[in-house]
Amino acid sequence: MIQELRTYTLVPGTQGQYLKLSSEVGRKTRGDKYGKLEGFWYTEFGTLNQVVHLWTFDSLNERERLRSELAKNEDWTKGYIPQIRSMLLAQENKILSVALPLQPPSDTGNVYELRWYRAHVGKAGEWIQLFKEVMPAREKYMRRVGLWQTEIAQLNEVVHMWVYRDLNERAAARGKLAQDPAWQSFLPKSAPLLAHMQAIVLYPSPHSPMK
Amino acid sequence: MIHELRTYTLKPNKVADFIKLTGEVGYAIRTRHSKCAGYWTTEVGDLNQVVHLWEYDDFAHRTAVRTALAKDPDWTIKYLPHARECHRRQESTVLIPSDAWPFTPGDGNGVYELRCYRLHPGKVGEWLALFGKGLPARAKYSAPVGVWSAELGRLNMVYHLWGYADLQARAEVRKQVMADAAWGETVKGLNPLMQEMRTKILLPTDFSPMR
Repeated sequence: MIQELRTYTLVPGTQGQYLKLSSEVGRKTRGDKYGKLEGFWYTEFGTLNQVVHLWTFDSLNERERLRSELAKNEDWTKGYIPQIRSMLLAQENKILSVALPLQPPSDTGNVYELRWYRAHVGKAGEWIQLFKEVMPAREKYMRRVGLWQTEIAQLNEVVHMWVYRDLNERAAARGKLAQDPAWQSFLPKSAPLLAHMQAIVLYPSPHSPMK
Repeated sequence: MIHELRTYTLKPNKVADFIKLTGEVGYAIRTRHSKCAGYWTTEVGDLNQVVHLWEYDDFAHRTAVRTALAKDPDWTIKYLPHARECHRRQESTVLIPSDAWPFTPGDGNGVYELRCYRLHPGKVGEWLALFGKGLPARAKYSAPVGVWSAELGRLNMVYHLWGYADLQARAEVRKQVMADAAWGETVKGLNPLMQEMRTKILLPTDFSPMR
């Protein structure tokens, strides 16, 4: 099983209309027939006017087959794509290999945090191993959604996603984590393996399965 | 207290229109909801940008303000549709004020300089402590407006903001600073912690609270 993370940068001011079309037309057309939608979010910090969506496929071959099927669906190619194309400034995707199983939250009304780190060349596997070892300590304070290594696009990269009730809860949880002895002993081992770290906060769109 | 730094890249032929619109319409509406610390245009570095700094008690305060703003018809009808015609790209980052120097809004300055450094992962605490310790020597020549670390977006980032009468005054101050032995020692300690350094020169708009 693989996951695909897609990030689209929209023309400023088109986000509302894009989400409406994506929910009312795109999502209805695709359902989960062409890959399973796990989550659909928009950004609140970092680069604004972005949407991020996460898909699951059985394999890369299955993904390719489903995408060519989708390309034959006229509700998609004629009913949806022409309506949204002018709103897109940039599209970026990455294929993620699953390091820990996806854990969508069962409650709704959450905020999500997506973090991605570029490790020094060849060091992503070692970092993931260390991170898995410290995971029980970290999960005392916050709920993990997923942990991945990027398989295609930016290499030597790890991606993880977290869910919080709100941003104040996030700040409090991160404060407590910083005091945890297991976390404190993880940090000096982690930092030398990493070259660049980024994080964004994501809000679920109305049609997101993870809310 | 937290700050939010918002950077909008405008269409090059729309900068004057955007500033006029914001000064005459948007700023008064926006500041009914929360406090603006400064509002600038860029003079050196990435051009055709506006950079604005907002002050909040915490994340919950920010969320409440942004929610109220999205429902304010003066904002959504009188200002936003016109402002959006000028936007090319929008970015936002949350800045956490550091103990290295108390936030001290500038007054009577002609230019501001925003310096952003990306550190090696895990070095933010060490960098801020060293910078804070060295700043009294640096402050003999000119004192910073504020020193922050970034909480979202590109991580391991520190920001600091300085005010100067003009670019010539900046050059003279920096020449004296470079010759200061105590500051030289601080810089020697800071350099190995950093990966990338960027700076931009900002000019306060007529309506900027920090001038």
